[in-house]
Amino acid sequence: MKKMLIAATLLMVGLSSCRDFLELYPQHQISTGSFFKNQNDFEKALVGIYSNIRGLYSNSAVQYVAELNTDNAEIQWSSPTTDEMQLDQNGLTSTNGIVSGMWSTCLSTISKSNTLLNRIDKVEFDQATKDKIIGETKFLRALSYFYLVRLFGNVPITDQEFTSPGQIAASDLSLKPKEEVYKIIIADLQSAESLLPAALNTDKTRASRSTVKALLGKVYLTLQQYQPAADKLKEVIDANRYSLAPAYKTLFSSGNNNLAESMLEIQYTTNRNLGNNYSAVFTPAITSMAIFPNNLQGSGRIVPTLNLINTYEAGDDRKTVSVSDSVRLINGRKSYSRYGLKFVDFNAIALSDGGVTFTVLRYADVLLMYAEALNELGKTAEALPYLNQVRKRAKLPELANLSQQQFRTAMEKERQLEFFLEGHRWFDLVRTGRAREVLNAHYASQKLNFSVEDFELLFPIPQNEVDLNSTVKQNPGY
Amino acid sequence: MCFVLSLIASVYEGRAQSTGKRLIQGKVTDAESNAPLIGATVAEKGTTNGTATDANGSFQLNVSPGATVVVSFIGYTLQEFPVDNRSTVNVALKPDMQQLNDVVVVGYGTQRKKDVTGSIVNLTPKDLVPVPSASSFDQMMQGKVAGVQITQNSGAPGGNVNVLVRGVNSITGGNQPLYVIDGYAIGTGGGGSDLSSFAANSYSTSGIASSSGVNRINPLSTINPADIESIQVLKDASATAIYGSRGANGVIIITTKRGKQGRSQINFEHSTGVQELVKKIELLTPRQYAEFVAEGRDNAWVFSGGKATDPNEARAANNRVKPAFRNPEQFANEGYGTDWQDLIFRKALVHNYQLSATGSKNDLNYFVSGGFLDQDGIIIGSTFKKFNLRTNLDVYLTPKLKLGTSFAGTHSYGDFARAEGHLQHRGLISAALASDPTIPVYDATGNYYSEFSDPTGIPVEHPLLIASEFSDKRKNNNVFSNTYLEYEIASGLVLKSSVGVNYSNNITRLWKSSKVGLATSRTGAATAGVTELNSLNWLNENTLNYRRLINEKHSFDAIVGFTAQKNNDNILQAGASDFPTDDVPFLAAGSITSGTNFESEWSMLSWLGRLNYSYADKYLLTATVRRDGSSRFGARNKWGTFPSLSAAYRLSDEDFMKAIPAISELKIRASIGTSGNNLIGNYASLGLLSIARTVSSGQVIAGITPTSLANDELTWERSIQTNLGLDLSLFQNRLTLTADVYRSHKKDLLLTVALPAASGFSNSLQNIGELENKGLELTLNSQNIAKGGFTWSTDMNFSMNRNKVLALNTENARINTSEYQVAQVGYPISSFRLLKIQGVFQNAEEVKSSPLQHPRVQPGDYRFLDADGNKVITQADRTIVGNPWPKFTLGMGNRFAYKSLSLSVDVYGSHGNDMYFQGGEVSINGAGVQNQLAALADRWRSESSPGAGIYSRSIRNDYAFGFSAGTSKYLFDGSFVRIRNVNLGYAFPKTIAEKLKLQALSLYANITNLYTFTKYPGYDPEGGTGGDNIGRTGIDFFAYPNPRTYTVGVRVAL
Repeated sequence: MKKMLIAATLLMVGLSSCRDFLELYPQHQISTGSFFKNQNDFEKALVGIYSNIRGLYSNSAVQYVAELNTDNAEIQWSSPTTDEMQLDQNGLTSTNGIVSGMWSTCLSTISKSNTLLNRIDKVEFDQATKDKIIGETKFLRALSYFYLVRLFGNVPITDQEFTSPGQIAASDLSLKPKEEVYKIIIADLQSAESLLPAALNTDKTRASRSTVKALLGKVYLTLQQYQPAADKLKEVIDANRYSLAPAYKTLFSSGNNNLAESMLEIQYTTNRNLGNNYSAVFTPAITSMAIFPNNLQGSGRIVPTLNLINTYEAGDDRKTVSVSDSVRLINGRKSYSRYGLKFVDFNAIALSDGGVTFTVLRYADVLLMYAEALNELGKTAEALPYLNQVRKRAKLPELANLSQQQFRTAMEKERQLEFFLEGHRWFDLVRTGRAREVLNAHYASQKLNFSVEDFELLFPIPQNEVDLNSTVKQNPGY
Repeated sequence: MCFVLSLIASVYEGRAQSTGKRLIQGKVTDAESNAPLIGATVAEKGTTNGTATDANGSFQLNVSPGATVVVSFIGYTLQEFPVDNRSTVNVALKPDMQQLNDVVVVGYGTQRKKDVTGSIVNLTPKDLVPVPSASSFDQMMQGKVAGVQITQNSGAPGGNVNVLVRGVNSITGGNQPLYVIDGYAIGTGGGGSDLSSFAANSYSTSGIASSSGVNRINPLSTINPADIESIQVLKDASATAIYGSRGANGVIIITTKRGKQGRSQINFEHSTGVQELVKKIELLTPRQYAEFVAEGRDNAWVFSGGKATDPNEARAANNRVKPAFRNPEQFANEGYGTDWQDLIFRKALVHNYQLSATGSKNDLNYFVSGGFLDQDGIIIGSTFKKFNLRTNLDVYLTPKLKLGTSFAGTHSYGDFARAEGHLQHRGLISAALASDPTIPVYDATGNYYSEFSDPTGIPVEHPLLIASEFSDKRKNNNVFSNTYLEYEIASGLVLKSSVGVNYSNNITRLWKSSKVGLATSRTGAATAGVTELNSLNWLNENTLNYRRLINEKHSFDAIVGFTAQKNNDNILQAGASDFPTDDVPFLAAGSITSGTNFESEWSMLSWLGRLNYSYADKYLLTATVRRDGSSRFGARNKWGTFPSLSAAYRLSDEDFMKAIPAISELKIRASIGTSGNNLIGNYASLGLLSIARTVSSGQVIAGITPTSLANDELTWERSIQTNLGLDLSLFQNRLTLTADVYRSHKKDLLLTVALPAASGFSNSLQNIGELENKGLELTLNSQNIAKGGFTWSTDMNFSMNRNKVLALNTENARINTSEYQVAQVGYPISSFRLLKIQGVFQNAEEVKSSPLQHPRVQPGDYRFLDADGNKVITQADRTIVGNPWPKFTLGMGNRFAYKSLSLSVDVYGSHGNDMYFQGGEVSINGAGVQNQLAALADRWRSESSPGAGIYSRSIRNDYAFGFSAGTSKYLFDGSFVRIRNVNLGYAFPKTIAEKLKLQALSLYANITNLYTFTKYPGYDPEGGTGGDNIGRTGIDFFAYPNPRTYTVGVRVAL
C-alpha cells in the first residue's frame, strides 16, 4: 500500500496544475495578446502595413485594373485566364479574382491600420515617434480607401480591431456612400499632414508630409475641388524637395531606389520572395526569345497596344524607355512583338522575381496634377509651364497657346505616355469623364466587339462579399 | 494532481477483508505442459471472495463451508468444483483456443467477443499472415475489414498507405484513424504525405527546404508486422467513444505478442522475393509517334495562320517538324522503339529476416524479437532498409502485483525515387513515358542523348540523368517504451497505471545537382534541403477496473480512468545553394540561405468511464463516457464530453431459440454515441501574428502583422453515430455472418470560412459544416468443407459507404479541395468538378452550332458541355462529374488445406470510384509533343478519319481548355479487382520436425499483386499522389506503382 502511494505521488510529479497543462502557446510565433506593448512593436506593425500594400503592386494588380482595361495595354498570351480576359475586354463579373484581390488587399491594409491605431493610444512612448507612426498609418489607410472608392464607389467603413468571428458577424460592414469614404480619406490625410515631420523622406518607401500633400491633392482633383487641389500641390512644389530625374530611363531600370523624383516607392529585392512579376507579365511569351539571362520566356499578359505605340511623338525620349516591338531570339534574329520595358528586370534569374523599384507617386505627377487643376480653374497659361517641364524632360518641344480644351487633350496624352504601366490610365480617364469615349473609340478602331458601359465605370463588388453579408449591395449593372 | 489522488484514495477505502472461514490451498498448472500458471483467479462462487496464484502457481483461500470454487485464467477453460472437505486442491487448466480467439481488445480493456455490443472487427493471427514484402501492418489489413478502405497509394518501398474507417469524416481536419499500440494512443498515420506540392515545388533553397518536410515514410512501418498478435478495428461510437475527441475517424488497436505461461518457442523466418512492374503502359509505336508529332505541329502552324505545307524555315520554332518525321514509314509500327520504361523500371529484390523468442521463466513472461527488411524498389534508385527490435516483458512481483513493459526500437532509412509529377518538374515516370521512342538512349560518344533544347524535340530531361542528379534520402528512428503496473486490490478490482514515451526522429535530405534544371532550363544551380523532425510524446494512464458477477446472472465490468498526454514536435529545416561542386550533396558544402526552426505542441487531459452489464449472457449493455480537455480547443471550449450507449440481445441463449439447432449464435446489437475529431492543428484557436517583410534601399526590413483571427469557440468536430448490427453463427459456427448498418452525422465540421475582407482576415477556422456517412457492412466466414484432412474456408466482406456534405458555411458554398475537386452541399467530399467533354467536333457545322469555346476552335477539337447554358464555355461550366469514393468494396479470402499443404488466395475489389489520371496531362494531352498512350492512335485526324471519337486532333497549342485545364478527358473509372495475395504453404510433419529437433518447420511461396482487372489506363488504380490529403483523393500523377512480388520463405520454430 505504501508502494502504491509512492507510485501515485510520482505520477503527479511533472504535471503541474490541470489548467496550465492545457494552455499552450506557440513559442515561435507571437500571439495577439502579447504584442503591441512598446514602441518597437508599433514600429514593426507599421512595417507590416507597408508590407501589406505591396500586394497592390508586386503582382501587377494596379496594372491589371488600371492599364490592361484601358487603351494602353492588351493581352498577348495565348491562354489568358478568365480574369485577365474580362479586364482586357472591360467585361467584369463579380467573381473576378484580380478585382477581388484589389478589394481585399485594400481592406486588409485598412484593418491592420485600425488595429494599430486602436492600440497605440494605450501605450506610452516618445510622442514624436508616435505621431510619425500614426501619421504614416493614416496615410496608408487613406491610400487604401482612395483606391477602393475610385474602383468600387461605395465601400464598407470600419475603424474597429476585430478579435473574434462573433464580433465580425455582429458588426455593420455594409457599404457606405462614397461621400462618407472621401470624408474619411480627407480627414486621415489632413491628420497625417499635421503629424508627420516636414523633413524630406530620404527613405522613399515611407510616406513623408509631402507625400501626404501630393495624395491629398490627387483626392481633391478627383473630387473636382480644383482650388484646394491646386493649393495642396503648390505646397509640394514650393517646398522644393523633389525634382524631375534628368533621364526618364533612370526611373524604371535597376538601381532606381530613392530617386529625387520619387515620393513613394515600392522597392524589391530578388531571391527573397520580395520581387515583382513585371518581368514576366510585361514581356512576350516566345519560346526562343533571348532578352533575359538563360533565355527565360515572358508571359505577355500586359503588353502595349499598337495605338499606344503610335501615340508617341517623334523624338519622345520616353518611347524607347517604355516600349519595344522587336524581340531578339536565340538564333540572333528578331521577331515582331510588342512589349513593355518599364520596371522589367533584365538581370532576372526568375521572371516573377524582379528587383526593379516601382513608383506609386512621383513628382512628375504632382506637376501634371497641378497643371490640370490650374487649367480647370481657367488658368491655362499659368498651367502650361508645369506641363512643359515634363515634356522637356522627354526631350519634346514645349507647347504654347492652348485653349482650355486643347490643354485637356494635351494633358490626357501626356499623362498616358508619362505614366504608361504605372497604374494611372483608368483612374485618369474616369476622373476626367473620358473613359467611355476613349476606350470605346479604341475598341472600335481595333474592330473589337467590346465596350464600356456607364455602369462599368465602377467595378463589381466581389461576389464573396455579397454572399457573406446580405447587407452588402452589388453595384448596379452586375 | 488532483484527479489521480482522489481516484487512488477511493480505491483504498473500498478494501475489505473476509474472515473466519476454512483455509484451502493448492496449485494451478497448465494441463499440457504442467507449468505453473501465475495470476490465475481462484474465487469462491457467488461471492467477492477470491485470490490469484503466485509465482509458483500456488494459492491460499479462506472459503465458507460447502463452497464451490471457480478457477479461471485467460486463455484457459474455466473449472468449477465443490471444495467438499479437501484442504488441498490442485487444478490443471486446459488451454482454450476458442476462448483465446474470442477475446477482443477494446479501449482500456478486453471483452469476450460474445459480449461485444459495438461494431468491432477482430483480426487474429490467422488473418495476419504477414505479406512478406509488407513493411507495415496496414498493408496486411487491406480487404480484410468491412468498412475500412485501405489504399496503397504508393508502391515505393516504405511508402504510405491511406486508411479510412467508414468514409471521409472531415474536410479540413485529419481523416486518419487513431492508432493504439498496446494501449498507447499513438496518434494517426501518414501525416503530411501529399506529394503534389512536393512534385511541383521549386528548387530554390526555400523551395527545397520546404519540400523536404513532405513525409514519404509510412510512420506505421515502425511497428514490425511480425510482432503483431492481433488488430482490432473499432468502428461505431459505442466502441470509439472511449477515445473521445480522437475517436471519430475510427480506432485501430494493435496488440503485440507477449510471452505466455508454459509455452516457450524460438521462431525464425526468412523470405526472399523478387518484385517487378505489373504492367507497362502501352504507348504509341515509333511510327504512330512520328505521325502524331508532325500532325500536331502542322495543325498548330495552321492555327497560327500558316499552311501545313510551309517548310520549317517559314514556321515559328515550336511548330517545326523533325525532317525524319515527314517519312514516318521508316519507323517501326509495333513495339516501343527505344523503351524508356525499361530504362527506369527493374526487377528488385526484397529480403526479410525475423527472429523471436517467446515464453516464460518463473514469474517472467517474455517476447523478444528482431527483424530486418531489405527492399529495393522497382524504380531505379529506390531502396529501403528497416531494423526492428522489441522486448515485451511481464513479471509478477507478487501474485497480485504485475509489472510489464514494452520496449521497441526501429531504425529505417531509404532512398526515394523522384517518381511522381510532371516532367517539367523532372518527374521520372512522366519523363520516361514522354520521351521520344525514335531517339537512342546514348549518343555516339556514350553520353545521354537528348533533344531537350532542340525545338523539334521534346523538352524532357533524360530519365537516367533525373535518376542520378536528384536524391531524396530519408531516415526514421523510433523508440517506444511503455511500462505498466497492475495491482489487484481485491478480487475483481484492478488498478493499472502506465507511463510511456514515444520518441521519433525523422531526417530528410533532398538534393538537386547543377546538372539538371527545372521547367525549360536544362541546368540550374545545385541546391540541397534538409528537414529534421523530432517528436516526443508521453502518456500517463491510470485506470481502475472492477469485474463482478452477482447471483450468477448479473455481470458487471466497470472501468474508470484518467489520462494525461503531451506531444512536442521540433522541426528544423534548412536549404542551401552555392555549391562549388556536385560531389558533396550535403548542406555543409554550400551556403545556407534559408531555414527555420520551431516547436509545436499539444496536450490532453481525459477522464473516462465504461460500464458493461450483462444479464444471464442474454441482455448486454455498454455505457461509456469520456471527457477530454485539449490544448487545441479554444479557451471557451477546452473540455468536451463524449458519451455512448449500446445494447445487445443474444437471442440464441433464449430457450425458444435453442430449439433451432442450426443457429449456434444470434445476437442483435444497437448503439448510439458521439465521438470527436481533434485533428485541427495546434494553436488553431489563437490569434497569431507573422513576420511581414518589405524592402528599403535594398535591405529586407521585417515587420509584424496579424495573420490569423482568434477563435475562442474553436472545438472538436462532433460525430453522432448510430449502428445496428447482427451476429449470426450457423451449423456449429461453420457459417458466421456479421452485418452492420450505420449512419454517422458529423457536426461542427471544421471549415476555413471566408470572412468579409473588412475584417482584415480572409478566413478563419470555424466549426460550421455538416456531413453524413451511411453504409452497410457484411462479413461472412464460411467453413465450406472440412472432411478427410481437406478444409476449405472462405472469408468475405462487403462494404458500402455513402458520403454527403449536408451543410457548409453558406448554402451555395463550394470549397475547392484540389484544383479539380470540391466539397459542395449534396455531393460527396472531393467530388470531381470538371469541364465535361461531350465528344469531338466532327465538322465545321457542329462547331458553329455549339456554344463558343474559343474563336479558333476547329473540327477535331473537344466539345464541352455548356453547363450553365449561357452559350459560352468558361471555367464556370465545370460541373460535378464523379467522385473518388467506391460505390462498394469487396474482399474475399479462400483458404484450402490438405494435410500439410495450404493455399490461400486473397482478392480485393473496389467498384465505382473515379480517378483523375493527372499523368494524362502529359500522356494523353494530344499536344503533338510527348509520347502518348497507345489509345491516342485512334484520335480524330480528319473528317474522313475521325477515330474512336474519344481523343481530339493532335495540336501543339494550348487553347480552349487544352492540356492543363481540368476536363473530364482525364477522369477514368478506377474500379478494379485485384488478386492481392496467393500463398502456398507446406508444413513438414511433426515427426520430421522433431527429427530435426524442431517444434515446427514450414515453407511457403507467395505472390503479391498477382493480377489486377481494371480499365484504368495508368499503372495502378490504387495509385494516388495526394497522400493523406483527402481533398486530393483519386488524383494520380504517376504515383509509384505497386509491384508484383514473388516470394519464397521458410519458418522454423525451435
